[in-house]
Amino acid sequence: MMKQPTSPSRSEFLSRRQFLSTGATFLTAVSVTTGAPHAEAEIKMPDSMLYPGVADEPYGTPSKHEEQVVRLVQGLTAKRTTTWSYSPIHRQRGIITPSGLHFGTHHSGIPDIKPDAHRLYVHGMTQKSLSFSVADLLRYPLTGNIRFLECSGNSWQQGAFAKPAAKTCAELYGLLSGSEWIGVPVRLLLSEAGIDPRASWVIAEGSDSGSLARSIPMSIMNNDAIVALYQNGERLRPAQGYPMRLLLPGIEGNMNIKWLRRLEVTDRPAFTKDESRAYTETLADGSIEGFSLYMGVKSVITHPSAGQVLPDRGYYEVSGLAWSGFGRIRSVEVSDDGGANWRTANLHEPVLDKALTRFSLPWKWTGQEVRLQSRATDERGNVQPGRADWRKVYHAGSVNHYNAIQTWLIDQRGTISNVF
Amino acid sequence: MFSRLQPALLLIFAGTLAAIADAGEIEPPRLGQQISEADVEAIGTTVFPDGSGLPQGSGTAELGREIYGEQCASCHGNTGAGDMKNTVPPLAGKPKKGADWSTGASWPYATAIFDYVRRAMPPRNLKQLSSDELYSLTAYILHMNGIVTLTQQLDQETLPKVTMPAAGYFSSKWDKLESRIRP
Ligand code: HEC
Repeated sequence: MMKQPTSPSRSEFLSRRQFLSTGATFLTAVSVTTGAPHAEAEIKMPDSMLYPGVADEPYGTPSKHEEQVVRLVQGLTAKRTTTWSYSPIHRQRGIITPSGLHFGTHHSGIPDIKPDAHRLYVHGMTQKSLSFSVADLLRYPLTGNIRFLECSGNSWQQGAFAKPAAKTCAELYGLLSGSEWIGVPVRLLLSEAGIDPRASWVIAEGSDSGSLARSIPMSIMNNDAIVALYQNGERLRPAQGYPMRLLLPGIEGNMNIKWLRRLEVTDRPAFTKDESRAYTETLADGSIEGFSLYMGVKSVITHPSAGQVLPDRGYYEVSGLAWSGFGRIRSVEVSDDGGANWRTANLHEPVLDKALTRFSLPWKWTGQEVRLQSRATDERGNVQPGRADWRKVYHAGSVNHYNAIQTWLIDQRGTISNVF
Repeated sequence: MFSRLQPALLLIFAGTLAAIADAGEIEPPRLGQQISEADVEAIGTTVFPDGSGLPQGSGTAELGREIYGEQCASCHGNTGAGDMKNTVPPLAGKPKKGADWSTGASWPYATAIFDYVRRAMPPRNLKQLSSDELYSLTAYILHMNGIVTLTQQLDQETLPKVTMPAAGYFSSKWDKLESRIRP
């Protein structure tokens, strides 16, 4: 991949020194605007320093002043059984999504499962058919890590529509979240049951009303797959599969079976409903490609992004998230001229395997129309494609596994919109 | 050091100090309870393309048409056109454009239709259809797609033999990528 030198005349990205001096200018400007020198002080002691605070609550809640930080939740109808909850990623910072803001794509609603009655079964091409209670699983060695989860339909509008939809960053990219997931390695449970050496796939099934089932290659199950019991330090939320879910790092969200009930060891895929159309792609030649499994390398600028407005010219920190189902993020580049020139962004620690990675770059808006883009590269050398290159692979209207470079257009009024 | 001491102390009281000496060799617990063959039958409901997992019974599109009218048409429409505004997918028909698929045009195996209707349809009267009814509904969906005749009998033997058009244009990315990325 070529890194073109930045042309100073066009780009408004700031070097570290420029950034520091701009910061100083900004601070100076603030101190100049404070009131007249000898007038009575206008700053009053806040109430919080005059009255005692309230008692803490057993389970903390976000500030009531942050009420707008919620998911966009599509409801059920008399006919619709599938719902989407879009995470407000344009209001979040960091690589962990608060559990209550985690995205959801639910095909049959959210079941209420009593943990004492729930069992996980392992059977099929095994020496023994086994049943595990939640209490059993909690006694196994627990492993896990910070991972991203992405619905394979995230950014589906970009594949579905010929013209760019007037959508916000959350609507286009909100089927994405990051969490620390902790649970029992699937390999331990499979080996306890005794796997037939000819086995090569596992059918995982949930105990939701649609009994959602997916076929998963055995090598993925034996690698880093876990039966997750904890998310971000607490037991799973019902919407995330309580009391247990499959967590397959880097693999499309739908296969991370929630409310996990059954692992059926076999030697071939079942071609369930979700691997027959819903989670497949249409290739450019009109044929169907399924079992795409890995989420491709992708990034998006969340600040600033569509739905926001730049109030003023001057300094902004361009920042966003990058991730890849194939491993760690190696680099992210940012362009403000629609991809003619690229600048390497700062990657923020920790940069983890199959996890969201935060990037940022100081930038100055001069009031001109700009086209902001980010382009991620992962440790295997996969580079996020441009939209035209993505579309060469897929048929018009194919919606899943869209991972092309996003362009945010900032017009002269500072309004930001989704463009191709 | 300190973190190792604490469990060690606990284990002394439990009287198993010997085990901690070879901590690396302590095997994870094996707490799985063996379940009976009858229980495995009761929980194992996957149908595979070769027909394994299909129950006894049989049906035809002619019989399925009536059940479809009663239990499915309200959402999927009389002709199986679906209602994508409510995310109800079309069951039948040729795609208008490449990615605008129906079940009949995009599913590579007819066995999966039986499997899915048994799991998940209709959404408000779940897991109530008999095996005969499921064969008949599968036959009717295939009939709406012109794949089987009204009177063709579908059962354990014949359903896996039905050839779906998509079997000719369905490929697996995992198979293509496997050697490069396989863990
Ligand atoms: C309440 C509305 C409703 C009724 C009644 C209903 N369905 Fe469905 N059906 C749906 C929805 C919604 C989906 C999509 C589910 C999803 O997205 O996971 C679906 C999906 C399907 C699919 C998968 C289609 C595909 O290509 O992905 C099949 C097959 C199906 N239904 C068959 C039936 C049959 C047979 C009946 C009658 C026994 C039935 N449905 C009754 C709403 C309904």
